[in-house]
Amino acid sequence: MNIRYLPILMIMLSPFVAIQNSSAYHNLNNIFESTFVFRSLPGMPVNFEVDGGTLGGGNGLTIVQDACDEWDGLPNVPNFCGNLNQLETDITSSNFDSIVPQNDGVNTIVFDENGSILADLGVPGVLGLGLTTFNTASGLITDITILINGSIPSSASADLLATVIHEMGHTWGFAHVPIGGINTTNSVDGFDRISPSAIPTMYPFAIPQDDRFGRTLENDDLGAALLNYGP
Amino acid sequence: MKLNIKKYLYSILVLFLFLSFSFLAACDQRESARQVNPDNAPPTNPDGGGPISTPPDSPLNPGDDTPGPGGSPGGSGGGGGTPGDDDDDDVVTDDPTPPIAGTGIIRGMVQSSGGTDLNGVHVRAVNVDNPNLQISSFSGIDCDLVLLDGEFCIQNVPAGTYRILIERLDGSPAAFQNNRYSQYISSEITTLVFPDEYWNGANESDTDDVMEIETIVVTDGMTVMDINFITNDGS
Repeated sequence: MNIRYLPILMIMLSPFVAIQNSSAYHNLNNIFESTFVFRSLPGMPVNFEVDGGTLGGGNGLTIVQDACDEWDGLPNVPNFCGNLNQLETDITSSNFDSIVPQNDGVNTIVFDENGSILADLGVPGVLGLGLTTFNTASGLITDITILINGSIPSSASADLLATVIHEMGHTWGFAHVPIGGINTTNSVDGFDRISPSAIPTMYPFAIPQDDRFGRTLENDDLGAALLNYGP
Repeated sequence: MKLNIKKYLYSILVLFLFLSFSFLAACDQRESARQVNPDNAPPTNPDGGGPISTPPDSPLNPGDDTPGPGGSPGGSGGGGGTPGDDDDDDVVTDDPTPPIAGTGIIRGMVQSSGGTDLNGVHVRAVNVDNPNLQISSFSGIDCDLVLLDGEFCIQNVPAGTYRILIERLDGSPAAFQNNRYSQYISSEITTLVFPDEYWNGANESDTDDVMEIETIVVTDGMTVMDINFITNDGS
């Protein structure tokens, strides 16, 4: 049985069942009569509530603003980021559930300074996590939560700004793209390897040569933005 | 965070979630995590020089040789060049209309040597004048974002001259670890083994030279069609 038909069967059971499918540079979240629906923002720009704590011991709000500036600098797409309102509260594992309830319609960026929230969520040690809640019929995103791991010092091996930009991309609806250091898996070099500086920010891993290259969006990232939000 | 399971297990899990969490019927939440580099997939040298064990210590300027998003549409790094010498196999049309001025579309199919349409094959367009200008898609989705076996469509390609290549995403279980690829690709990816291969025009076949390249020219508002691959899978 082709795997493709199982989601269709499930849609017969419920019109709201959620199936996520994704392509190289955009997320496609629902299959309905063989037609994909984008997972996309219902409106732009997106306002965020930002953690009142620190990120990597420093000012996380500045990093978030820089990440927004990178996305908002893309041509031919509207600005992604709106107001950034920094909370007075430091979000921690003890208050995360109360401050960041699921699908409350408030978009939140969390500085997980010691990594404990990500550990509680079952993904310890990741650099960041982007969560989107979306309507499975329309594909419209209803809630965004971005968690950045502050316990991993920002360095050339794992850059905090690059991570924020990357996770923001997920919450706009973009998936990973394998253009980069590991093109074909198996650690086999592929053809036309790309310069580390040109590896798309939506590459799934920290850029091994220098993760600060992830601070700039590349052509494939732009392709995703244009496809979802271009004119 | 992505589910790191094989396609059938994924479906079973989806069914389980559906039955168990009916209160989430009207919405769904997805996670996507960025990770440090996995130990089982060492970074490789983009120049083909083998694995790189550690990043350089000295700071690098991320902007020094980056094409940059701002200059990409409209042909940064492209625009020049000429079509392939006898490139009569690709058909240029003006349908559908690309949304961005200065860009075009590349579309085609990927099949096995036995004629099976292959999905989840990564198709990359590499600008000849600026190899760092690359844009890609996967086979299995057409230009209207509808599932269509074997078809691929790369949109918003800045005008210029390109070589096109296909590469296999590992169909082994390891490929599904570390959230490496999207769930769609994890569920649809072909497990057929074949080498990376460039598009070589009219001579495309199951026994061709994978290094033989025929370039294509993407022009503003046009679609380059019939960039069709037959993999060298030996079947």
